[in-house]
Amino acid sequence: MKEILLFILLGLGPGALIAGLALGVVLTYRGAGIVNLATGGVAMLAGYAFWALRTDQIAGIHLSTGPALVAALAFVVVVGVLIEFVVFRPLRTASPLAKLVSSLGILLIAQATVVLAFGTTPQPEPSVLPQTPVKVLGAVIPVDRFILTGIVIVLAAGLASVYRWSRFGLATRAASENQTAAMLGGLSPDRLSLANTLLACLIAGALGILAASLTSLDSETLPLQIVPALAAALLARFTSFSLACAAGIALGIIDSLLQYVSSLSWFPTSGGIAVPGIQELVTFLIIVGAMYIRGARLPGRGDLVEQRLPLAPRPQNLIRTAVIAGVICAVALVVLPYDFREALINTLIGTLMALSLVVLTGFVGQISVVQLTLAGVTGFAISHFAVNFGIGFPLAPIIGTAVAVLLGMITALSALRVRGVALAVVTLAAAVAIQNFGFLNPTWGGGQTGSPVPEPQLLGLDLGTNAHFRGLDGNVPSPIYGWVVLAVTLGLCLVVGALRRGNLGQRMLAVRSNERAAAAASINPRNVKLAAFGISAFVAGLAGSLYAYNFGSVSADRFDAFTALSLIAFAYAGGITLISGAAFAGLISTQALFPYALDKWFGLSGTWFLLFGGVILIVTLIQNPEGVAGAFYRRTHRRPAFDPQLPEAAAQDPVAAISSSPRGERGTPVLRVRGLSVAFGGVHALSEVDLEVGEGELVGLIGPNGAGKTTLIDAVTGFVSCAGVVELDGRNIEKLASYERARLGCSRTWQGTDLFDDLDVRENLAVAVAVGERATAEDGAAGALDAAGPGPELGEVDTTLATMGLDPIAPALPSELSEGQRKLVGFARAVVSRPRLLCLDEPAAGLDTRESSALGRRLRDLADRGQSTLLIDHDMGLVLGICDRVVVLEFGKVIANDAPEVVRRDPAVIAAYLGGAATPAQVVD
Amino acid sequence: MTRQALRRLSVLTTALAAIVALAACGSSKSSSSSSAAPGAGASSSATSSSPAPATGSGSGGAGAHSVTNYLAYTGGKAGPANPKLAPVTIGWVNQQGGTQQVGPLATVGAQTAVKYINSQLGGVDGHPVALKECFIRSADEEGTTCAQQLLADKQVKVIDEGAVAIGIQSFYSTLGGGKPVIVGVSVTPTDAAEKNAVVLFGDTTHVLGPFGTYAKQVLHAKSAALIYPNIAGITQGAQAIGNALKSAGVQVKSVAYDESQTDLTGALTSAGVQTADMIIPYSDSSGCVNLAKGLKQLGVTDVKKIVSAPLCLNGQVQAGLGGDYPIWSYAIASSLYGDPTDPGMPPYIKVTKQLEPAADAPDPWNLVAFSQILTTVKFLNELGYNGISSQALLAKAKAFKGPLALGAPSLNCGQFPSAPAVCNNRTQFFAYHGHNQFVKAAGWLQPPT
Repeated sequence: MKEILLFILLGLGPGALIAGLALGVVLTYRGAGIVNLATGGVAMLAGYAFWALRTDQIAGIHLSTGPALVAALAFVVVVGVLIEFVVFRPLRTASPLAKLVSSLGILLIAQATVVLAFGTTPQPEPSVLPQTPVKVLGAVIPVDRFILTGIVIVLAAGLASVYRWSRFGLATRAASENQTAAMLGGLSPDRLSLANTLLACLIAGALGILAASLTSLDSETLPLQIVPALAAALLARFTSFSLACAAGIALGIIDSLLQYVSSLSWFPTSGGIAVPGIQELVTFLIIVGAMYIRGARLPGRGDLVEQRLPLAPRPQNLIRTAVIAGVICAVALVVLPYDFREALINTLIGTLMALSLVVLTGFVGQISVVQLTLAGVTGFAISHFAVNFGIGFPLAPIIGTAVAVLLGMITALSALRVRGVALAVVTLAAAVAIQNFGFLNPTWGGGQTGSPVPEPQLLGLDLGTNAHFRGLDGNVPSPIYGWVVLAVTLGLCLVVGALRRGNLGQRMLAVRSNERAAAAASINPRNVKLAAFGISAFVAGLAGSLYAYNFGSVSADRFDAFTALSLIAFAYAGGITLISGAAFAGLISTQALFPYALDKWFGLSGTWFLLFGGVILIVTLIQNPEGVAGAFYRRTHRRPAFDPQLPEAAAQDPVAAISSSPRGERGTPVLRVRGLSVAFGGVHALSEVDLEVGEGELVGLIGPNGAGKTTLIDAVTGFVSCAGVVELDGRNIEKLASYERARLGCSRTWQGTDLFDDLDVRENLAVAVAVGERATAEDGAAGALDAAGPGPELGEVDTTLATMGLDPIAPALPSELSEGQRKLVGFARAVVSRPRLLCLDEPAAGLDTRESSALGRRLRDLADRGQSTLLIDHDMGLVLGICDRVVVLEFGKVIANDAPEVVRRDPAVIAAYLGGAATPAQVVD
Repeated sequence: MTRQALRRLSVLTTALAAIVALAACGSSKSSSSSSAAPGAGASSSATSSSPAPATGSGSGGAGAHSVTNYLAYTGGKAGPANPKLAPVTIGWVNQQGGTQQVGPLATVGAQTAVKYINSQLGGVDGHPVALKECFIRSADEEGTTCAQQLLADKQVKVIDEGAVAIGIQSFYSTLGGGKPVIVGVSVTPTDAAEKNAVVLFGDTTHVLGPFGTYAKQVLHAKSAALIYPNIAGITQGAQAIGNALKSAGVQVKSVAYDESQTDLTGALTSAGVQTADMIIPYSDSSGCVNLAKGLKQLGVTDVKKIVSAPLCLNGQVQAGLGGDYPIWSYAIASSLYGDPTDPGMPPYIKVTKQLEPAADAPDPWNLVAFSQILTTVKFLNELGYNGISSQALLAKAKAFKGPLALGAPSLNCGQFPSAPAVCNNRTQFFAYHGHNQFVKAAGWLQPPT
C-alpha cells in the first residue's frame, strides 16, 4: 500500500504535464473548433525560447529568469497570433479533418524550425521551479512535481470558473455551439477564437517552461506528449477543463503505477524483459471503454453537424485511365534508372496506402489513424509466417492481410459509437498501443530492430526486388517487383472506383452525409461502416505486404503513430475523397518521386523537407480545401447542367406510378401505437400516447411547439427509445433498429431536409430504393451482404423523379437546390421505396403557397391510392384540408383525435393553441 | 604548493590506492586479448588526473599493442596518393540529417581519415581513396535507397557504416550480401547477425557482459537497478547487462520506460536506485539527459555506483546537461580520448588537430569512424589495387586479428555463432569526475563465466 501511494505521488509530475497540455487542447477546441496536435509543439517552442534567452543563444541576449519567462511567453503569444491568423481563421469553415491536418502542419513547421535553429541536441533548459527533494513515504520526490500539479489544478479550476461564469466564457460556449447564432447575438467568433487560441498557447508555453525539470528540451519529447493529452481531452469531451485536468493527472498516475508493477517479479515478460506497451494498451482500453459507454449508435437529434468532407464525385473513365497509367508506369519501371524506379515503386505503395483512407475517410467520413498500423500488422505477420513457420508468398500475405482485416473490423467496433475527431483520437491511441504492445514486442512483434522478410517467389519465379530482370540499367530493384506493385495498385484503384460507383459506395456516402437520414433510408450504418473498415483494412494490408517485400524487412518505426498522422495529412492534401487524390498523396509520400526528385536535384531533404512539407500542407489546405486532386477535378470536370426551375409537377396524375394500388383493406391499421411514452431525463416528452393510422389513411399530427410531434415520429421510426407498443402491419417493431423499421416500410422525412449532400438527386433516391426494395427486417443482421447485390432499381427512381417533376434536377447536388426543391427531393426519397407508412415531418416548411398546395394534392392522391401517411405540419390549412383524421398533441398527450372539421372546433385544441381565446377560424389560420 | 597541485596529488594518491585495491582483488583480466567496443572517450584529455592503469596491462587503450604508427598500420607509402590514378571508392552510410541522429560526427571522422590517407599515407597502392556517402535521415525507404545506390556503383567494393539505427534492416535486405559492410560500433543487433558484415569495436550486446564482472569483482554489489528506454538496440543491450549481472550472482531489478516518457523519477524509484549497490542507467544519447536529471533529483550521485555505457559520453548529452557529461562511471571498449596512458591516443590527436575542427575530435563516433576507415584501407592495401574484390575484402576483414587502431589489441571475428559479425566482447571501465577528468576504474574485463 505504501508503494502504491508512493507511485501515485510520483505520477503527479508527468500527470500535471499531460493535464496542462490537455487544457490547451480543450481551449483551442472550444475557441477554434480545432483539435490542435501542435499544442505540445507550442510548449516546446516556449521552452526553447526561454532557454535561448537565458543562455545567450539569441544575439547575445542574456536575461534573468523573470524577464526571460515574460519574453518567452510573449513569444508564444506571437506564435499564437500567427497560428490564428495564418492557419485557423482561413480554415474556420473547413472540415474537422482539414483542421486536424492543419495543426499537424504547424507541428511539422515548429519541429523543423527548432532542429534547423538549434539542432537535434537536447538543450539544458534552466529550471524555474525549486527542486528541493522532499522525503515522502521513505522515498525522495522533488518538490516541483507538487508545485506543478498545484498550478495545473488551479489553472483548470480558474478556466472552469471563467467559462462558467464570465461573459467571455459564456460567449465562447455559445459560439462553439452555433457560430451563426452567436454572430446574430453580436458575438464575434473570430475574436473569441483568437482569445482562446492565445490562452491555449500561453498555457502550453508556460508548461513548456515550468516543466523543464521533468522533461528534456528537444524537438520530440514535448510534442509527443500530445498523445496522452489528447486522450485526456477526449475523456473530457473536449469541453470540460476540470475533467481534462483530472483525466490527465490520472493518466500520469496510472502510468506510474504500471511502471511500478512492471518491475515486480510476477509481471509477464517477453524475451526476458517486461512485456512492453502495457501502459499504452491500458490507456487505449480506458479510452475505448469510456467512449463506448458514452457514445451512441446514432447521433442524437440536434447533435452538432460537422462540416462535411470534400465532394466524392463518381469516377469516370476508370478503365481508360487505368490502362494509360498502367502502360506508362510499366514502361517507366524498365527505362527509369534504379533510383527513380525505386521512387516510383514507393509512389505506388504510397498511393495504395492513401487509397485505404479514400475508402474509409473519403467515402464514409471515418477519421482513422490506425490504417498504417494495420499495414504494419500484415508486414510483421508475413515476417513471422516466413521465419517461424516457413510460410511464404502468396499464402503469407493472404493470411497477413486477413489478420489486418480482422483487426480493422475490431477497430470498427469503436467507430460504431464514436465519431469525428473523437474517433481520430481513439484510433491514434489504438495505433500507439499496437505499436508498443505489438510491434515492439520481441516475441510477437519485431522488437526494436524489426524482422526480415524473404523475397516473394511463386512457382520458382522470383517476384521480388532482386528478381533476375533488372531493367535497362541492370540494377535493383527489379522492374518485375515494380510490375507486381503496379498490378496490385491499379487493380485496387479499379475496385475502389467501382465501389464508389456502385450501391455500396452510395450508401457509404449516405452514412458519411447523415447517419440518421441514412438509417431512415433503410441503410444500416453499422454494417456500412464495418464494410468500409474491412475494405480499407484489406487495402492497407496489401500495402503493408508490398512495403514488407519492398524493404525485405519490417520495423516498428515505419508504422508509428506520427507517420500515420503524416499519411492522413498528405492523403488529405492530395484529395482524400478521390482515387486521383490517393495518387497525388503517393507522389509526395516518403522517398516517392516528388521528394526524391527534390532531394536529388535540389538537395531538399531531411529537416528542410519537413519544414517544406509543413508549409506546403497548410498552403494546400487553405488554397485547396478539397485537396490538390479535388481542385484539379473541379477545374477539369463540369457539373452536369440542369434547369433549376421545376415544371408544374405532374399535375395530371402525379402519383399514379408511385403507388398504384392500395395494398390492404382500407381502414385496417397499418400503424398502431399503444401507451407510447418517451422521457428525456426527467422530462416526459410523450405520455401514454395511443394512435392508429389505417390503410390508405392520411392522419395529421398537430400541436404547439414542444408538444412531442417529432418525438412521436422519432419513436415510431426508431430514433429514440420508448416504452409502449408500436406495431406496423400488426407486427411489434419497437425493439427494431431504425433501419430495420425502414426496411419493413416505415419511411420518414425530416424537419431539416437531411438529404445526402454528397449524392446527387438521383443517387439520393437510388440509395433509398436499393435497400428498401430488397431488404427486410429479417435479413437486417446480414444487411452488409447487400453490398454484393445488384444496383439500384433505377426504373423506380426514374419513375418517381418523373412523376414528381424532379427529373430536370436529377443530376443536381442538394446544395444546388432551393429549400423547396430540397423538401421535394426529401419527400421523393421517402416515397420511392413504396413504404407501408409514410411519416412526414413538416414537409411544407419552406415551401411557398403554390408549392405547398401542390404537395397537398400529392399527399391526398397518394392516400387515395392506398398510402398510409402520418403528417406533421404547422400549415393548418394544409393539414386540416387534406387529412382524413387529425390527432392533436399537447405536452406529450393526445388531446384530440377526430375528423378535421371536429378537431378545428374542439375547445381543448383551441385552448392549446391560443390559450382558450381563439375562435375555430383562428386555429385554421 | 598551489591548490591545483594539491588536488593533483590527492587524485594521484587515490589512483594509487585504487591500483593497489584492484591488484589485490586480482580479478581483472589482462588486456592482452581484449579489444574495443561502443564509443570511446570524452571530449578532452584526462590530464588533470592520472587515470589508474588497467589492471594487468598497466596502460590504457590497447597498452603495448596500441597502434601508434598509422603508416605501418595501413601498409601505405608515405606521401600523398596520386590524384591521376583512378580512386578506390568506399561506400559510407550514416544516419544523419533528420530529427534523430545517433552519431553524426562519424562522417567527420571518416572524412578526416580519407583526407589523411590521401595526403600522408599514399592512398591505396597510390590510388586516392574516395568516399561515396549516403545518409539515412528518418525512414526505412532511405535504407533501401542507400543500399541500391551503393550496389549500383560498381566502383564501390566495400561499405563502411557509421551509427545507423533507422533503416538498417532494409539496408541489409536490399544489399543482400552483395557487398561487405565494415562497422565500427553497431547500435542495433542487426549488424551483428549479418554474415557479410564485420563489427570491429563491438555491438551493444556483447561488450556489455563485463558489467557483471565489474559488479561482482569491483563493486562487490549484491543488488543492481537497471533502467533503460524501450528503443532499438537499447533493450537488447539491457537484456545483455541484466543477464550478465545475474550470471555474476547480482540481484537485478529492471525497469523499461517509453522513450517519450518525461519524468523519470518514478521509473528510477521503481527500479530501486535509492537502495541498490549498483545503478545502471543504460540509454542512447537521447535518454541520458533525462536519466542524469532524474538521478540527481533523487539525490543519487555516487559516481562509483552509477555505471553506464559510453553512449552517454556524447556532445549532445554534454550540451543537454549544460556543458558536462553525467558524473557516472563508464564502460568503454575503445580508446578514451585524451587518456594519457594510452599510447595509441597521441597519433590520433595529432592527425585530428591538423585536419578537423578541434571540437569534433573527442566525439567517440568520430574516433571510431576514423579507425574504421584506416582499417578498411589496411585491408585494401593488403589486397593491392588489382586484387580488390568484395569477397576477398570480406575474407580479409574476418581474418583480422588486430591490433585495431584506437581499439583492441586483438580481435576474434565470428566467435559468437548468433552474432557472426561481432569481433569483440571486452571492456574497460572509467570513473568520470566531471570537467573531463576520467579515472580508470578497471582494466579490460570479460563477461562473467
